[in-house]
Amino acid sequence: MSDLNQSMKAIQRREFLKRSGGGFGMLALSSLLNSGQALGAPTPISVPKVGKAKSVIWLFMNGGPSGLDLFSHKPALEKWHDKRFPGSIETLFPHPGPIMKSPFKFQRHGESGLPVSELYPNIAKHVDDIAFLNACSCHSHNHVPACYMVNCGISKIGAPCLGSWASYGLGSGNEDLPSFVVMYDHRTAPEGGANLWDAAYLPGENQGVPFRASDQPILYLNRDKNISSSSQQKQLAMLQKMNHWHANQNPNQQELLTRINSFETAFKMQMTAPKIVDTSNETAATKNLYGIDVEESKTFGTQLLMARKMAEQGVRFIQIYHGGYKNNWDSHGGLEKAHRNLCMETDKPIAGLLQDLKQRGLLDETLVIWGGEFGRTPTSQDKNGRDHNPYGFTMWMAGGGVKPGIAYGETDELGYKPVENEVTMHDLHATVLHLLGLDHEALTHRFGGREQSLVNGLGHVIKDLIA
Amino acid sequence: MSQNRTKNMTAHKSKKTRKHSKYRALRLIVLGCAAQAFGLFVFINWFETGFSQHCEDVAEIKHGELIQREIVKASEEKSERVSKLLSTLSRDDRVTGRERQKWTRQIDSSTHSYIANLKQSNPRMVSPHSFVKYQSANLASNFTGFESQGQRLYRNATGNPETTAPEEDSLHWSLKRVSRPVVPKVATEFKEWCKNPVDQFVLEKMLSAGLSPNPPASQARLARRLSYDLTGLPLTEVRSNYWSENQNQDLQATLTYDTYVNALLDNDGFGEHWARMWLDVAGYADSNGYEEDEIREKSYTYRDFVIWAMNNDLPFDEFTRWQVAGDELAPNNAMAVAATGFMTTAPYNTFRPQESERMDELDKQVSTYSSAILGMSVGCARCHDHFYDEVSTEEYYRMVAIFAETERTDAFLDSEGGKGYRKYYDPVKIRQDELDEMQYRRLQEDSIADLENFTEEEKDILRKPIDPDDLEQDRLISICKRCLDFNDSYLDDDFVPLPEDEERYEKLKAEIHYYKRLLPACPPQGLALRGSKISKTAILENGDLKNKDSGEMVGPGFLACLTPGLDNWEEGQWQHWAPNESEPLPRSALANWTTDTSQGAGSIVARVIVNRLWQQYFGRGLVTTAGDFGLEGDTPSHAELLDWLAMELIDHNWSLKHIHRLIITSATYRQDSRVTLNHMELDPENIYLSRFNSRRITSEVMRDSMLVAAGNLNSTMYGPAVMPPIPRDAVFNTEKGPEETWPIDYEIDREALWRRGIYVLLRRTMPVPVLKLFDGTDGSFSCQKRKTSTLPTQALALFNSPFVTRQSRFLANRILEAESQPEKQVQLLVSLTLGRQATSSEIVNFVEFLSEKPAQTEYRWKEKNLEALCQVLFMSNEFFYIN
Repeated sequence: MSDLNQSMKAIQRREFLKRSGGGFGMLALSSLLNSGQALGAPTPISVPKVGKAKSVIWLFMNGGPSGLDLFSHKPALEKWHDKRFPGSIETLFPHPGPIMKSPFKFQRHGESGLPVSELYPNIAKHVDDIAFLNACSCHSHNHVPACYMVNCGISKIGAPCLGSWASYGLGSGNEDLPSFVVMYDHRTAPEGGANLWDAAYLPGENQGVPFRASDQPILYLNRDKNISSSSQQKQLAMLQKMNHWHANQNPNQQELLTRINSFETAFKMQMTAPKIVDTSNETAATKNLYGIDVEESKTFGTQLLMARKMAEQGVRFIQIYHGGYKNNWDSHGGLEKAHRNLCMETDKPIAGLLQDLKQRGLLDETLVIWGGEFGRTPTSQDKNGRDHNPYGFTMWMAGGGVKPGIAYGETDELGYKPVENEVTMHDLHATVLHLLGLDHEALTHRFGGREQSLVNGLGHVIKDLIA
Repeated sequence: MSQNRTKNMTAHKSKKTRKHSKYRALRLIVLGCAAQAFGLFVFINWFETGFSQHCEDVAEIKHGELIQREIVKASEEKSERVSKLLSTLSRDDRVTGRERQKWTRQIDSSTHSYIANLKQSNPRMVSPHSFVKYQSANLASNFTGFESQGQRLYRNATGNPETTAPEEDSLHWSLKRVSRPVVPKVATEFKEWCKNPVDQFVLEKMLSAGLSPNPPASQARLARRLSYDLTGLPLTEVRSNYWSENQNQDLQATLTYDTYVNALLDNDGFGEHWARMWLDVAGYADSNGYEEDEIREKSYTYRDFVIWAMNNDLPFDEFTRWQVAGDELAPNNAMAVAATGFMTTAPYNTFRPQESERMDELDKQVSTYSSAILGMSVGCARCHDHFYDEVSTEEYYRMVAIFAETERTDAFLDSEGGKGYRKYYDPVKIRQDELDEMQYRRLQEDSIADLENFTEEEKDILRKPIDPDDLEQDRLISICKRCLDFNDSYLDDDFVPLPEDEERYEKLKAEIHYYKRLLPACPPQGLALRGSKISKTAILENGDLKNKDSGEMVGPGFLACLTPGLDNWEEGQWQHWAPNESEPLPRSALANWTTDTSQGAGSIVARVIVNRLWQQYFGRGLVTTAGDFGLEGDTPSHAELLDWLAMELIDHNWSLKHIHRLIITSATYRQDSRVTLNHMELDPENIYLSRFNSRRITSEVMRDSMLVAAGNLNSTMYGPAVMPPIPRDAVFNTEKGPEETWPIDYEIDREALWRRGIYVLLRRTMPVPVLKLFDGTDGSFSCQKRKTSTLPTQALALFNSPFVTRQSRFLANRILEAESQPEKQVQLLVSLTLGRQATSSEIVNFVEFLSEKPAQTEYRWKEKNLEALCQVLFMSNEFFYIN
């Protein structure tokens, strides 16, 4: 089938190279002509429908942010403050404390009049662009299994994550950059490590590639200090000459040609990637917009600016972890202070990203997702913190064809479990794929004895969220 | 190597005479330690010349009798070794299964060449194939006493060995009991091409698809291909020389190929390479995964078991049973206990573990067992009856019940509190043995040098390895006993080694010192599975723990669809397979059922493993879904060949090496990899095997090959995993700082860490980036086949990773030390990296590369040019592809 087609293409390409003298320069040219083949980029598996989103920027608040203190306003908590939770509540740690009201003030914002707490004053300005999902569930009490559930649709190691599926379905939008990029705070990485952005059984090009806001954005991008650029150019020329002899002796083998191209792409990547990181040409206004000019939000702001540039250049899926093992949203105690700091680090960058995307006309085709691996309980822990709540928590989406200015789903008056329009992670995944123009039932890959998919028939597209 | 050596020598009992007789054994086995692997070649050689003169009128005699008779003759004339061969053929109860296998193999190879010789002298003589048939029949008769455990127990339980035969025809192909298919006949014109029945099966399909075989690959290609396929190591100079020295003996073309194959199969690297395949399937890793991702300090004992088992050709049924219940079946055998590590590979959350996560772990155990060994995916049945396969939710939870009360634990591997482990692996002893041999060499050299009244010529003859056909040597030895005979009393702790041994001597001394210090912590404990309680589990509706209380409780059980004659599983039925009726253990019963070829899952187990071997060699299995032989799995491209191989495995005492040998000595395997337009048109995926599939090397092989080329590979076997440094950027540090999470200082990347890739620690959340980038596994799931993605990030790693640039530098230094002339340097470089001679145009181009001065003359520019060129070779397609 397509193998034969590919092979025929290879033959034609071979012939072309032969006629053109087959020199190294011609190879570079031909790789440009033949782009798309270069990364071994997969042909999209399901034909894109009218999905509006071209890329996704996922802001992953690692540790479990407390929706009850940010977006899901529950006045009943005031009434129940310091009282025992009525009925039973499942927590990770035994002996939950009494109910705790939110230490923060809520206000309604925008035309939609949706509530946001005082912690997110800048994001609050964008509520009319946002769809809040107030009754999300992942049913996993522990951080890492929950992270796997949120990313991969299953709470254990070993399945491809949403980013990999998106990349698998859409192919690469820019062969000089990976199609799926991950950023995290390099001082302290998220628990669960590389499995969080793993392609598992999907082809390797769909693996999330960690990207840093440093002089070496991608691992191994920079050459050794003792090796000069001209020396590497010389190496590349010699290498491709050799590879060319070898391909001549072993004709009709597409893999060999793909590999020849991958070296050229790598060289181009060395030019492209540093440009993403370089903020020296950005105006003071942009830096201010993303909060890069303030110490607290500098790291996250820079990452979001990079994310916007990547989305612009065709990277399909960009996932940014805020918080790692330390400095995360896991406020079992001292929630007020911790959440205040975490929000200061993220408020301006996120608001800046939404505004920047909007003013560039990119918000329609860029889906922004905010959320953690679960939320937090209405009951207190250690007097002033909250435990994990995987049953009813808040995430939100903006842009990319999502209905703006709505709140979807609701938990009970104390904010523990959904009472209306629960959104499981499977529903979320189906919906995100739909927004990208991918059919979650058709996007499959054969593994372990059957056609696997991200959703595996366990969720459905939430039509009410689609604009 | 050292293992083989010890194997050959363990026959001698008394400690006093051990070393003495060991030396005698060495004399017999010829060539000494370095050529151990090739000893067999020499043995066969004289064995063969010894009786070929008796072969004139053989066509008249039944070849089976002939062979027996000839072996008798040869044994009378030559040595006790051959009589041992004979005794294996006739009186099987005196030899263990392992010995039988070993001898069978030797007879196999020797007779193979023997028949090749006969064919030369008499064209009407039998083909090797008919000998294989003869031999199988012979073996089968030897095995009549070997009733399967299940068969016996079934009889005990029911009083009737025969149960109702299932309606075979209605079954899915993989559920049918395996039987020996008829080997297709071959048209006369292809008779010459076929080397063994594998080819006859392949050829039939190939011809009917309108294709014909590719010509055989050149010897150079084959040598490299075999080296990689069998040991995962590049063709070293030694091996390529060995090949070329022997290639001019036309008459012995088969012999040379077979001997080369045997040498590789006996190489320690074989186990290290093939263990990787099985560890992938087992989902092995050295850490728990999840939040804390703690390192499993003692998981390596399972990895070591797999290497050991592959090298020693532990029968695959035993291999399988031990992995399920070695602790129960052979509690005093450290290797059997270590084997249960197979059941401990599942990731496991240690931070406030929840009950659902325990269910996940059990699920992983059951799924890995069934997909790795049975080729069935049962995981789906956790929530619902399997959509496609005949696995019910009830059966799934019966399997879970078998493991529900077991635990992963750091256990003593044997009842002697760990001491017994040393019987199998003692790093001090193997080094001490090598030192002793070194000392014998010294003593030999000294006593020969001291001889008076002997000419230098005669002394040189004495220095040569023992050659039983060298009468002059024999005479000289008989005159001068002392120059070759030594015993323990000659040994001393300190001695001056021969000059050529000096370096190794120093190293061994240092290593012995090191291991003596390390020993107490080293081998006694391993990560194993323990627990033999019989328990019941609840069938969870939709796999949901909330339904636990309402779920029906079920006890242990296996899969009815793989149990001929059974429609569904009844409570307590498992006990038919329990080895001890008074105290039945469910895991032992599962183990026995798994490999029971008549009443249990043995048929599919044999099919699944031969298919895995096939897949490794051809890049594509006869069944492409290697872990799924169920209804949703692929149908086999060559169903009869698959069954024939499975039967060969079962009939040859489950010897994997026998299957390896059948595959790699076939003409199918020896084809060239050239792809023609005709291939592209008729069979682009090469389903019909009319060519060899060229393949990229795996990430571990890439690492090992670079280390070998640079002269840096540390071939130490076994033991705790190593953590080679990785760039700081690649460390996902969570709890601790990056420095404490994983080494980042490349200065420490020295010999101790330059072990083969299989010994590199695999941490689930943080696989070593160079290995992961080239599609290495991270132990997240049972990996049936490595991916081969081609990515620009791989190219970046080859250009800029410190590992590659450093090894390029070492390789350059190695070349500079050996050669000063650019032409010579280039030739050496090509031979070290690509295992072949450089072409004239390569020499011209490479030399030009070396001589090109940089614009601004740098310090050491010539050396730097060579380093750069070394790296180019490391990056090249030819380096990365086996063809």
